Amino acid sequence: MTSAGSVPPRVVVWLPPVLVRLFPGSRQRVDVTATTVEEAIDALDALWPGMRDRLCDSTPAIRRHLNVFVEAERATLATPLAPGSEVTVLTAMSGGRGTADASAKSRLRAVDSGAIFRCALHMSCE
Amino acid sequence: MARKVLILLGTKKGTFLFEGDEGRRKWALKGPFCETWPINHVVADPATGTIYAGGGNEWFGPAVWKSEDFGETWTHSSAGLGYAEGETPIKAVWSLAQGDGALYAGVEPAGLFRSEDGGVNWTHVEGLQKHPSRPEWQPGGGGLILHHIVPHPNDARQLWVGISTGGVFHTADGGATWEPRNRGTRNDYAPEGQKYAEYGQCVHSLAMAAGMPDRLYQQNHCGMYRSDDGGREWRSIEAGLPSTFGFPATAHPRDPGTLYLLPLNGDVAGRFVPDAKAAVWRSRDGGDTWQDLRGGLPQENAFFGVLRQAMAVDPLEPAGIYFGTNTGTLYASADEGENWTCVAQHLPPIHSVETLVTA
Repeated sequence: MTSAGSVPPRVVVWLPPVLVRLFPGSRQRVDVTATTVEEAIDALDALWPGMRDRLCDSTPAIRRHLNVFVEAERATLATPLAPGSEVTVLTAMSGGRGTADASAKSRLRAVDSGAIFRCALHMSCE
Repeated sequence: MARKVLILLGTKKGTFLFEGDEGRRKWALKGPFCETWPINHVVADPATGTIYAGGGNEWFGPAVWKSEDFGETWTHSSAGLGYAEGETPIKAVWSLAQGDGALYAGVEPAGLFRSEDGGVNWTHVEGLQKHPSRPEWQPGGGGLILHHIVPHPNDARQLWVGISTGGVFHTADGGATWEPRNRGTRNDYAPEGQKYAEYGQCVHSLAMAAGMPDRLYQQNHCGMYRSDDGGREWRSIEAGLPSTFGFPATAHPRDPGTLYLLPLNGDVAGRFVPDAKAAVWRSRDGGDTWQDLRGGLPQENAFFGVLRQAMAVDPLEPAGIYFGTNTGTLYASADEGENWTCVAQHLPPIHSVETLVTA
């Protein structure tokens, strides 16, 4: 949370190319002001209307076959962000029908092996 | 200017369009569109040529895609296309239909949405989910899906929907209240004494006879049916057909007595065309008698099926008829089903077929 009078933190969001393709003018690296993952996603939606619906379902939650990491830890909408936080959105292999988004995966520079394992658990190639 | 004929395909990996002229002999493929998302239904507004494609992506959820230039460019939206917080989220759009100036979308889990601005913003037609039978609807093989929407052509308050598995429901007040319309349709999977329930049947396809809004045809998981009173009572029309199982039912664009079906060999026998020989079956008398149409269709080693929304007619004279297989082959007839040609092979599994003839 941001205390009264302080400046909300600028954070960096990395988006997968397969999402960027859905929103003309969007880009993989986006700098936004946000104190939580949900605020970051709402900031993306303000830039490119409809992007929140692609990232979140109506529960509301991050979509089941997407993974959002903050500093290499798997995050939820409520995960807090600090100034300079890096938020990485990855498509899970489970949603790709066998087409892993390799370039997006390479954006994640410090994912722990446990997180990769959790992604792999979703895999259901066709 | 010569009119264009378009065949609109929703497939497991995107939308495809086939463009031809009124002769319907040569077709040019365009696509895949919609970023190769699974697309369940593609329809077009004959007045404007606007194309809508409904589907859902495992990563990014449900959306309705839209093209106003015959597929050259697309936008997508799902604004409002969601249930209330805490409820099971929508997985995909399964059906689209235009009626009374609005666009309707049927979704999974089964529900109905309405857009009055051309598919940009959506409103939940909540009355359907408030029906007391809702807790008892069960997913079929394709999920709990609302896959057919049949608007009344002259009365904006009336609409029929088909839900697997919930059955056929009808509203006479614009969606505020609904009643099941399944009397006379069979559920072979229910215990003795409960096979003709008020709801819960597995409807596969619902088609309205041309110029006769009270006449409906239905392909069900368990039999083929006709109703002459808007679905209040159904009677079997399966005598003379090679099986009681199939998915699509397509009505002729002008003759209310003509119906096309594509029976398969049964739900536990592979769901292939019977005897590995492809045939479309046509009735000219409302389902009393049937004729198999095989000219140009494979008559050996054919192991494919045709899904719920994957057969369609065009409005030309004589009517064209088209079907797409779950193995990615598209067949077309320009003479009401007498002779068939293979338009394309090696496409992704075809979920739906519709047509557009430009003004």
